[in-house]
Amino acid sequence: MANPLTNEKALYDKIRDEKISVPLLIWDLMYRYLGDEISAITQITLSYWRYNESIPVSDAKKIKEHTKKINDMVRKILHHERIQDEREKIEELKNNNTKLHPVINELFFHYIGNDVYGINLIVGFHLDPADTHPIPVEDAQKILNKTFTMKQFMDRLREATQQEITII
Amino acid sequence: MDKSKIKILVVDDEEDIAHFTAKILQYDGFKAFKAMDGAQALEIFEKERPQICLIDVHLGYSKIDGMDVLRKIKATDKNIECIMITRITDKDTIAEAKKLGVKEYLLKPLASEKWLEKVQAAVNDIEGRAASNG
Repeated sequence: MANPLTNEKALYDKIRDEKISVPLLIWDLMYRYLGDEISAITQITLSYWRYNESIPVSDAKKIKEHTKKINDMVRKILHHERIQDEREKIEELKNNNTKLHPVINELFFHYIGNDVYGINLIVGFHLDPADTHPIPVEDAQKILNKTFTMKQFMDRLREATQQEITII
Repeated sequence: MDKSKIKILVVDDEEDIAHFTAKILQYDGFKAFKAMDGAQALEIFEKERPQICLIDVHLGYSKIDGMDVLRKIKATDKNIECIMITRITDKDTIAEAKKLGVKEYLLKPLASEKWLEKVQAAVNDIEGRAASNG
């Protein structure tokens, strides 16, 4: 899991006190794309970890693909002005010049970025072309911890920005 | 109830979510099927008549979305347990699903085994109904 930022409490307090919000369009992108990719990594990992089995190389490669898609989406959300993408929502982001507040940017990059990076490192280690091997159960546990903390971050951010909660 | 007698349909347009969710359910002893779009979901539903359906509200570019699938399933048999997979921005959809009798929701991203508790709750409801029907 990503280590807490030293100024984390101050950042969340600032979000609450200054009523900093996340544009609905970005929430939608976060839940549409990140939600699917994080869910896919979770379900692949869970389908082996739950039964005490190593993740075979073929499915470890799928996890790597999903982390790549998360990285792409994070890059697009944070730096949409730099990219060319035909997807309608990204176009909308660009056209409206929709940006995340710098405070949310910092939290978003730290938590999602570091956890995805961590999953990539774990998977990359086992997919090293010189010595490719399945992901053992203890590392599968680490991947699950990281998907869990990504969800926790999204929940905490939603709470801090007072995004209306309709379920739970 | 013998888990192998319970059929579960998983509907999600993200292939890995559909595939591995169905795989986990199969490993846990259920008879699970997967569909990646609305038309395929309804086809499997007609053929297999699952007692439980996990349905993603958003089925990408599918002409039949998750709510269409839910409406058709509930119109066929209102006792089929449907668990909707949603996002936080789905307020209106959730309200309609509730009216159609949906009791359980899963909020993406899925990030733990908690979703299996919702499946178990649906199984308990089916068992409860079976017991009360004698």
